[in-house]
Amino acid sequence: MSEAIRAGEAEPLLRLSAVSKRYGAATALHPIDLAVTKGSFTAILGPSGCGKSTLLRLIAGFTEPSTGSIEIAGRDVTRLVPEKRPTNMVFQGYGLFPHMTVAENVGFGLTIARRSRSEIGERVAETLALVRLEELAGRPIQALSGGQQQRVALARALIMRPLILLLDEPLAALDLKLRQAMQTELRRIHKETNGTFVFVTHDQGEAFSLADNLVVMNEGRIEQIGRPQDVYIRPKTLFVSQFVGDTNILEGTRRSGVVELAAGPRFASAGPDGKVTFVLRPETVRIRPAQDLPSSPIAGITGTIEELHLLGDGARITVTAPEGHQLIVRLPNPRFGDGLAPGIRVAVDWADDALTEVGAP
Amino acid sequence: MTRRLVWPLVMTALSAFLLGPLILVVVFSFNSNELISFPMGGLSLRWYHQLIGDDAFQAALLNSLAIALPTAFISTVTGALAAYTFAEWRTRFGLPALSVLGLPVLLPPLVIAIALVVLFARWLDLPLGRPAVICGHVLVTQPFVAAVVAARMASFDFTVLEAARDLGASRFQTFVKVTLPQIRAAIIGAALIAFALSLDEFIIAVFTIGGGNTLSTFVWGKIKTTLDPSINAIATIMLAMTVSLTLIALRLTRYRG
Ligand SMILES: Nc1ncnc2c1ncn2[C@@H]1O[C@H](COP(=O)(O)OP(=O)(O)OP(=O)(O)O)[C@@H](O)[C@H]1O
Ligand SMILES: [Mg+2]
Repeated sequence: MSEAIRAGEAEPLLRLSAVSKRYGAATALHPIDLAVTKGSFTAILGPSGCGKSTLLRLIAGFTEPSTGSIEIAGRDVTRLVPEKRPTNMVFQGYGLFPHMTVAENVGFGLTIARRSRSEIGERVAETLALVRLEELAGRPIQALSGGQQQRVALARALIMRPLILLLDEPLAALDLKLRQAMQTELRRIHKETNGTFVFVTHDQGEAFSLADNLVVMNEGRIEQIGRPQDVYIRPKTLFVSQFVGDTNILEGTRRSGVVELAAGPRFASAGPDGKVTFVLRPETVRIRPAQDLPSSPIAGITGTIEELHLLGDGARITVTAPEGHQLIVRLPNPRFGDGLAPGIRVAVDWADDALTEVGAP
Repeated sequence: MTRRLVWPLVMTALSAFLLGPLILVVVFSFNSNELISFPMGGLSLRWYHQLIGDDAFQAALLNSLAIALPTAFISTVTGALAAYTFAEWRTRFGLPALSVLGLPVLLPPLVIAIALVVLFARWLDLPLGRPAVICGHVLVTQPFVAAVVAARMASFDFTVLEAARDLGASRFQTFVKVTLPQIRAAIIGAALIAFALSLDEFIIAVFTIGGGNTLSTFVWGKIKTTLDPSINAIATIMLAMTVSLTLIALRLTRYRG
């Protein structure tokens, strides 16, 4: 019973089935499946040219998919023109109407929908308040700063109360401080409007600070979908582990359930025989000076500190093992009493579950 | 010191040489004497009165307007549409396509005129006259329209079109409410330029007008027969029209925002 209810709730608001996009001979998007639930904040993360904008434009209706179908709220919208879709978009370059004031820009959609003048006035004021631009309603667009323009673009889309709000790197043009302020605003607006947001970015920090659902893309494919912390802790592929945060890559071979890493350590791990790749997050690595070692051998690696960078909120240490294998270690609070310094011999190890096996690159 | 004066002097002399005859034409158009020579007589509008009363002048003016107006209209529609479409493609084909459209500017007007005469008289077996002149004028004014509109489109943000569609506007609504308001000034300016060019054009007009006259062929005919000072009045009228049209056009097409 409760299972059925939960399944009902999980019925996605947006569903892409085997959607792909080709431009001539080039494939911008390989067939992908994606489901977005109501009220979620989904971030699409990937390097430049991986197909993020293409994906968003397919959802908004600016391009038709080469294959597959798109469903919004249970309705097939694959062939629907953009003006008929229950989505609205905040464009990468904002796309504000330069011949209109802030209020006219924000009210454009409602004017087209032939709403009454009083309703338009009311909702424009309400939406401008939401993005904190009340005082600028009468200003021409050219007289706004980048951050203000971005909020106008956001207001212009939000006023339509879209089932899904699509945002294509809306913060990319802003400086760090403004970007962080806007991230906070976006989170607040997402909560206040109870909306469903799909947000494209190539900034992993932004994706992590905003999203409750992360889609990592590479070369027109979805590499992994999941909660941000899960994607971080358990990356499925080498690409994800490298793109999302710092990582150590450990290669080795498995023979009848025992893995031997090229860097030394052996441990039990079930799976098919052959070459294996593991990733290890730098902050999960433990490190101590080698003279503190108990005489019995440990499961880790001994090596020399090659570099030690203080980062303000921690330290990043590069350790080189005898055969040239390098390992990056991150310590949250370097204590100088630890005796860690370049040239020191150290032992590093990690908890069993810190290693994550990833698919072949 | 003297070196610094050389260039200003050269420029002044050059300007006087270029503008002198123009100024004389304007000045003599208000001269009451029969002869176009010094000393001048009194200030009068005599030649203007004589012109306005002249049936041949009226017919020529009517012809010129009946050619310039449709020319401006047609070449603005086709030239603006072409420039807009090529800009919308946003591909490497846009510029070559625009250049092909501009080719008539490179052709000698004489060649265009002969080609039109051959086309109308020999092949289509149509009489020469206003339609033939309009064809020729559209051919040579359209590239200017396309160039003016293309220059405006170069700074046009095409994202606004998608934004408008996204907010519920149809293609047509997007054109009327978003595209047109932004490029309207450039289009009006381009139309005025086309109008002024057509009004002034002589070679194509003289070959293809057939029986009648346009303003420019009327002046030419007058010069051949008499050196009547009313020529100065016509020239001044045409100068005033062309200059003011061009000034308005320049103001309108100057990029704003
Ligand atoms: N109209 C088009 N014609 C041809 N190729 C295109 C077109 N639009 C996109 N592409 C190609 O599709 C691929 C994906 O492009 P897309 O714009 O989706 O990338 P993106 O992930 O948004 O990149 P960025 O982070 O730089 O914005 C790119 O290789 C791009 O060159
Ligand atoms: Mg993009």
